[in-house]
Amino acid sequence: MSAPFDHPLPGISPAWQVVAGVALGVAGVACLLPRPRHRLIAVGTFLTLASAVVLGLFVATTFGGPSENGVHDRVYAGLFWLFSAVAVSFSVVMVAQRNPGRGAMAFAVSVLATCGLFLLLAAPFLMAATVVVYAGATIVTFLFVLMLSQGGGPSDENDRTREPLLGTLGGLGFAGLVLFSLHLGSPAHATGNYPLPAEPVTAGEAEALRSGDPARIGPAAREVAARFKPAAGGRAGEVAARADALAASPTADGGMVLAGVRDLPARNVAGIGYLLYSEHLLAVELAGTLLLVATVGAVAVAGRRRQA
Amino acid sequence: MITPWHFLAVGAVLFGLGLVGFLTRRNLITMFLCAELMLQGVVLNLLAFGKLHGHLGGQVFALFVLTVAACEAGLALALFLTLYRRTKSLDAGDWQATREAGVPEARDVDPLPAVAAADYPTLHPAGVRPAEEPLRV
Repeated sequence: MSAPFDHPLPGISPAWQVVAGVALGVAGVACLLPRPRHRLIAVGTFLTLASAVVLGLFVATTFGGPSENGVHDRVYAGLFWLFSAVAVSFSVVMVAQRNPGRGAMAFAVSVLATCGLFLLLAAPFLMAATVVVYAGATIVTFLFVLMLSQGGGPSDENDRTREPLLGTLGGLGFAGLVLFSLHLGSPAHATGNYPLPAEPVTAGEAEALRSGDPARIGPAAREVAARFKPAAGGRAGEVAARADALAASPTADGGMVLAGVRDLPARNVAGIGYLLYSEHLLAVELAGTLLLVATVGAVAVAGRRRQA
Repeated sequence: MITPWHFLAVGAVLFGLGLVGFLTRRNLITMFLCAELMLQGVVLNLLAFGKLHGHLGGQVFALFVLTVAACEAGLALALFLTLYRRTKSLDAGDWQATREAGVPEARDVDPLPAVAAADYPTLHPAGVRPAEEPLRV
């Protein structure tokens, strides 16, 4: 995966890559946003695609972890790029779409692609819950569009935007700032003071770290050990303390710890259930109460009719 | 190799796009969908950090975010229905009378393109108008 993308933008610093990507994206989305006249769809599409390419190359090259080129990694990377490309492109379609019904359909596709990313992040239960909730929500939204939209012709709400250039600059500029600060904290950016390791430190590695056996230390723990050697009790001690806490926790033998790095432990649903109804029981009750209050509120707000 | 940072980047981009749509679009339903898109980006962040730390707390947190999103959807659509009953339109610009004091009114200068009325054939009445039937109750 990394070989053809090693130096795609030679000599351009990451900051300028982000700035270029955001500028192209702002110009593209501002062209694509609906307006009564002079809507430049072709130019906007081209600029947005160029921005996606620049930002994609930035993400592909700056957030590199240790590169292993097994089949597993390649499939994982391919699925990641596929799902994120679909999610981002259909989000752009939704934002720039004139017709709210088509926008809702594009949003549904974007949510489905995001659910694929959830699966890659080892969250099968959340994937299923999101599909169920958003499938229902999208259908209801679509019904609302059918019910409330005026027919046919151009209208104020669909064909006009408020401050297309400034709004786009605000949103995408924020995304660019987040991307750049992610770059500053990423494991590949070694000049930062406290970069996090690229991979989680597993309990076994923490054990090895505590025992000081260099032969059994894995890559992530070695990274931590090398980086925080001056403060020996710092991160390593914290990791060891967390491993102790995990070992003492009643859920440690089950699904609380995700099985391994880059694996897909599809059996963590039981762990979520255990965690929800043991540690977060009060929060679950509060969330249920919130849903009830929201239902009552929705009925009270929508059911009120004006007195004639 | 794909690290959690890649997922954080995708989440940031989704959040930014949702912010763009929420700030610029005027259709209330589209604005609502853009807010949901921002929540998707946030959930992606939570899950990526959960995977980075090898802990299920991120997924539990994301589940509560999903709950709040569902509440928000119900309330938002109920509010849209109420607003629609008042103005017969989904335009957020209809409610700019509620803006802050001292902010100038936003005016739409560019006229909407006129749609040519469809050239339907006119039907002329022909024949004899039938006598009205007596009302039977």
